[in-house]
Amino acid sequence: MLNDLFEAGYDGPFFTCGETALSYREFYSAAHSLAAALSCGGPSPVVIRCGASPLAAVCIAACLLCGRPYVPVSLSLPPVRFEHIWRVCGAGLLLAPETERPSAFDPTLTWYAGRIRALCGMGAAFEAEPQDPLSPAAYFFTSGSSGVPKGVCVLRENLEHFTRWFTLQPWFAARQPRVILGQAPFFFDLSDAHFFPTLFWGARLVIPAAADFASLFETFRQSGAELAVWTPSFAALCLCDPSFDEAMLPGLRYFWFCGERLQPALVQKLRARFPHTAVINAYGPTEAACAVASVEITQEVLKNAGPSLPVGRVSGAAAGLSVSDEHELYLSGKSVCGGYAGLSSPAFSFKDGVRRYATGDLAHIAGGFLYLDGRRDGQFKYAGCRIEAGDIEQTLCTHCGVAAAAAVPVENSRGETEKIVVFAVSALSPRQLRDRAAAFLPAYMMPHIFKIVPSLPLTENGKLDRNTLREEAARLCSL
Amino acid sequence: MLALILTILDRVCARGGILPDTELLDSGLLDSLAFIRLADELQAAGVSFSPARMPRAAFSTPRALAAALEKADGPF
Repeated sequence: MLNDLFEAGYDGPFFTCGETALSYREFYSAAHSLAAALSCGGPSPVVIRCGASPLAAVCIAACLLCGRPYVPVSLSLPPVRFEHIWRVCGAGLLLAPETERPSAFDPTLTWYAGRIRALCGMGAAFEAEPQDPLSPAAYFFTSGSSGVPKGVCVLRENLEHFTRWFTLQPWFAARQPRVILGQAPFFFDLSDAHFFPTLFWGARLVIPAAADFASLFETFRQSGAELAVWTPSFAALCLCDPSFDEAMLPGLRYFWFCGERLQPALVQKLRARFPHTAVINAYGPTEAACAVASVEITQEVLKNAGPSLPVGRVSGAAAGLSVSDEHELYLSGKSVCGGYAGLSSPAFSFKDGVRRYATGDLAHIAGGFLYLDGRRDGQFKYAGCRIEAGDIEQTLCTHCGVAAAAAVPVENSRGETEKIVVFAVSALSPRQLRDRAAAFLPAYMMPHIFKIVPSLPLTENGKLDRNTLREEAARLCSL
Repeated sequence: MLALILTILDRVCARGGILPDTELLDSGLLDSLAFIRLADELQAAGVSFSPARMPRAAFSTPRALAAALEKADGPF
């Protein structure tokens, strides 16, 4: 089924990003032609270094067609993390569809934009062979608590299941969206929610390429969008400008949010500016291919909700969702990924022959709604990106001349992370430490404050006293 | 206006010691979350502004932002 998405089925415009536009016909032809070239290189995974461009979409489709797992990574990934990812997934090729020239750290086997475009344009035929639904489709690397990125092995079955689940959500039953406004780059699994449904429906995908508000809003105005697949943070950013309202996106029927906590205050603002647009809140970890639950935040849901909004509706056991006695949310079934690359994890198990994943999210179910209540570990979100405290700490200790470190998220009254504070035992100054860290940590993981301390506080049991540090961090940020 | 902006930025960017000519964009100091809080706090202080009508350079330093807001707004 997955490969059916890439077989000629639709005509007309497929993907617009900035000045680049791709029709369905061009997309199918380019993907097959590139797949023919990729299939000559053996079965090894293909790293795709990209943002959100149409050519990156072609690379992904080509990998899926020929059965080579793709590994989407960001353009700004620090070299040491790139090398780790390359090694752990056993990659054989780097595709750089948004890079024209080689750079010093690139592997020998790299195809840059020019070569990819040339291969796409050859018009080579490719007959896709059936692939095992339990084989890896992609590896999404996310923050890992041991100081190196962790590769979530997404199976072909996961993507098929997700696409079916997404397109069968009840609000799309009356009318399928014809234009989808995305935002997420392909290395962020939220992109699954605009890319695969677009192909399934034969819709048009619009991704803004803009760096400033004026051209961003111009893209919105010209899009004709009916469905926006966004993070709440992105909507909050757009709302900073008073002209962002229904008049700018008159056909918009749905906001579909995922990736971080949706705040009641944000929904209220959106309702005021977009009175005719439904707001949908969705939830899912990368380990379950983007999302597994969703709920429309109607006026009534908003009125009855406390400080936190529901993230899904739960109907019976069929949903593959359950909450343990310890309040941890478990997922099971076809949404659950195939584990982590080169790493065994107790979070994954089999129960009655069905894959099961302990999410680490604390949750409860009330009145048929699913609510999240925080994490049982050191994971937190900053601007929609998932971060393990241990990842920052271990990276500083391994690469940056730090004897011991503790990374602490500082939350505002709404429970959102606003700052990341690091307490470090080091001979370096905060400024030196920041400069070193910038070479090893992705930008979204960069701490805002570095505090050099003689030692880290311990509890009576000799464990790191995170509560004391949290208070100290909050004081430093005076929130 | 400049004093107000510096006060807000000191809070939302968390890294203290922001001066009138501190670079805000390429340094990553004014990331998207900090920008959202800046906009909220400016609004709370009675300063309305439309980022869509301002060039990117208007956000490059506190001084540039103050100049752009004074031009756009008036009351300060």
